[in-house]
Amino acid sequence: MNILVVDDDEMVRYVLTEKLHESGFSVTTASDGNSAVEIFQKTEFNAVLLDLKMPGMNGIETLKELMKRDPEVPVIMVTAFGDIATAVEAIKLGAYDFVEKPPQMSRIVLTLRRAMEKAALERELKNLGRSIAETSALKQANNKLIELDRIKTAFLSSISHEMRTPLTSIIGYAEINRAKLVKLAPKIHDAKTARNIGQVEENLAIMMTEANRLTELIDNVLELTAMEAGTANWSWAPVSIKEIMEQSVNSLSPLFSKKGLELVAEIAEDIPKIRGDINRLDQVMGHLLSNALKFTDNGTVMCRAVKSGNGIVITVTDSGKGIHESLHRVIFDKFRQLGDTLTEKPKGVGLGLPISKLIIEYHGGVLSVASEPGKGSIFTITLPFYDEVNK
Amino acid sequence: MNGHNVLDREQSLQWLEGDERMLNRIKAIFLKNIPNQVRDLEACIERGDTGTTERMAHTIMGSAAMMGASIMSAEARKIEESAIKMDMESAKHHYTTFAAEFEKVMMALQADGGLE
Repeated sequence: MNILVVDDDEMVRYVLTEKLHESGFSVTTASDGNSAVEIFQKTEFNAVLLDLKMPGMNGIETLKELMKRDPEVPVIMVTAFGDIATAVEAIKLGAYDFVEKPPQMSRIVLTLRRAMEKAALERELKNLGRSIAETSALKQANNKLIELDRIKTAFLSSISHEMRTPLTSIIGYAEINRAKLVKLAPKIHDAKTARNIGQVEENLAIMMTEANRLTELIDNVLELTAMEAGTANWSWAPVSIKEIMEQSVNSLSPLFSKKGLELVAEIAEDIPKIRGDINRLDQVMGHLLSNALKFTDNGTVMCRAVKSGNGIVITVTDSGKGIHESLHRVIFDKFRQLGDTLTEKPKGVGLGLPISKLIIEYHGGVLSVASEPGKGSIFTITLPFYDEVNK
Repeated sequence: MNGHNVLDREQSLQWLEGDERMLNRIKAIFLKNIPNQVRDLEACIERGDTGTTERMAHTIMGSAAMMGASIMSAEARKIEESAIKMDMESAKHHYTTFAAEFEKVMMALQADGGLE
């Protein structure tokens, strides 16, 4: 506890310093108002004992200067006989209390302790007030963010609808033109023209593929925004995870074989049915397997499902490039694909994993990843099941 | 002693909470500073400087009170009040009484032990 003693009387300064030391305070002294203000600015004090009548800047003026610099430090006026009126004025100006000269040490120490206790309580109260204000500001900011997120979702949804309509025409016309060209081709006998027509047909095919990819992306955005906004339609029914997995594996294994990869499925026989949306769960399985296919260049992709306690644990393990730990959370963020951090940039915009995560969460489950660069990745889905579904 | 107690040792020790060592220490400070302070006070009164007279008389009043020199303190207080009222004639008058008391206090202090 650091006390500033301001008094022009050397005897007072000496006695106060000695006695306050004895009571465990550390003391700095000043013999006039100006040097007191100067010291006060440089050092942190817990309280000030201030003489009222001093040469130069008097006690009242000094008090005003100290209060200007730090109103939270309690100031106790030390007054000689006959100064009561001025002491009262000092209290009106913000001094904590006054003690009379000759200074009674026990009274001074008591007054100091009370003053510092009060200052500490006031500081605490102020902090409390501040934290309440901060909480309410945070709440406001949070509400604002929720509102902005809602507007963004609505915007994405409407813009996606608007893009989908012209895209349907583009795909439609490209398809018609291509069909016409295919029909026309056998009638062309000029080799050069036939080659040109063949080129145009190929270009149209590329346009259609790309347009279809765009449609798929827009569908994904629509799907994600609808799920986020809670307006997506779900068809809840008892579904067999085993069937969904077998179907996904069967439809994708030709693509794995084509890339020289092995797709192995190990699905336990006792996997119970769950209540779920079959199309969306199918979408998740398809997505996880496609991802494994996309990011694995050689080796095996293993797809397993087992019953564990009250849940079903599905894992898709690949021997691909793996994902650095710092990115494990990022991959579930919207529009964050890790393609550009790998050697080849795979196609897609990075909506598959966020959508899959949302779907699994809507089923009360968890989708997580464990992975190490160079060692492949394991995506794990845990889905709860309820006995009544299987009765 | 001379009909009144020039230096009340008990009074001093009371506010010093019985600390004799400290009483001796403040006595030394008092003896070091008071002759100059009294000389300054006299000069201020002579030149009619009410502000400095008020302040100097006030300081001396406090120091004398701490030493238990209650008459000297009271006389200094009278000078202070005169200065506040801008009545320097009255201040001069009180200074005479004050100066006599001051001499007594100094003698008492310089006597062996000095605090009786």
